Amino acid sequence: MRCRDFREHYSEFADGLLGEAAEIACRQHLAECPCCRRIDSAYRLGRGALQHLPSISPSSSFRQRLMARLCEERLDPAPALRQWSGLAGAVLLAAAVAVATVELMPVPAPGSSAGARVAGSSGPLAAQPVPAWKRLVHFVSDTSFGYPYHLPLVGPSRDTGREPATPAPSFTVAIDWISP
Amino acid sequence: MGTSLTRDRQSQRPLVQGPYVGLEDSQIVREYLGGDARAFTELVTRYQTRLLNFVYRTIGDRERAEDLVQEVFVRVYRHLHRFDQTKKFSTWIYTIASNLAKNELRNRSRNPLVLFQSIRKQWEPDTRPLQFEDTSARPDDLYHKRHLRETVEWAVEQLPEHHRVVFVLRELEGKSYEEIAEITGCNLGTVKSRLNRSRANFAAIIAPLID
Repeated sequence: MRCRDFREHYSEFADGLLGEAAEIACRQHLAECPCCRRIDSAYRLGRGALQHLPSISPSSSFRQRLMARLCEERLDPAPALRQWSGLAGAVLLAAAVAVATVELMPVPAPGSSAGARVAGSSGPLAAQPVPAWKRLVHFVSDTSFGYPYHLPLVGPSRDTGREPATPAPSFTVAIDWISP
Repeated sequence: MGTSLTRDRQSQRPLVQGPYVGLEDSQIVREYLGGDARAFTELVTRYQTRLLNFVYRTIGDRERAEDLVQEVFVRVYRHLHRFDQTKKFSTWIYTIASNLAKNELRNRSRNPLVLFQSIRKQWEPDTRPLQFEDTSARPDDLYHKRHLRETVEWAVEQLPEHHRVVFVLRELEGKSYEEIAEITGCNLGTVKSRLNRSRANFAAIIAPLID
């Protein structure tokens, strides 16, 4: 057996987990190799000392501190819940910023030609000032690149700022965006 | 292969009074999940010393080891309801402790200030290995035993992080190869390889010091 092979099987040899033939080969190598024998002796002596190392005990305040932390765990929300509530707060903040941004956007002048056609309605769109929340609907929906979709309320075109004189009969209305 | 070493530390379990004497960990966990809050205290009693010794021998800092063991119990408290009761509780709690210890070692290796402080602490006069002192002053057996003890403690601290965890789990905690594989998230071959190298390194470190 070469030193390399002995080292490869050393753990199992030291733990008595080798088969009989391998165990004999290792012992024979130890008898012949002073280098591996020295390492084996040092390891066994060190392992013996390790097994008799004194055990350290927790400090006198360990249990008290731990119980205090566990009490805090009981009173505080779980970290996952704190994460989600933080995320919810961030979403709300983003929405507030978006509303504020829309508020600051200039209201388009009434009477411009481009606009949205509301499905099922007829006649020209009445020219009325558009509240900020409705402009927010367009602001948000405009980012979806013209896909038709259902909005909870009828909204005017961002370009015209006009809204229909009468509200749509259905609460959910499909809007097809018409390119100007 | 599944044989665990007999450990003095394992037999030093404190005497436990009360309804949990003789119960397995799995039964204690069931009691706790069934609403018995005292059962968690029993788990703390059973594992605080063992985990403290494991973490301390892995990271080498006693105060920090206590903090990490507290963190282990907090995480157990937080996630025990999700623990797979078909698995061994011992393996689970040691996995948490092992991960925290490894993170601690990694953070130290990245933070030069923390690394410097830990090196400086190791070399304070009352903690450094005795072989650097005047050996002729105390030639008795007690001195040699203390010399060897401090030498092996120091040798363990010199092992690389991923070797040290496996080495401590085997040599000091008496875990089997399979348990170590589960705790460290490695396969059996990797555990054997790391154990081989760590033992060889350990022996190579202490051999010149004890000749």
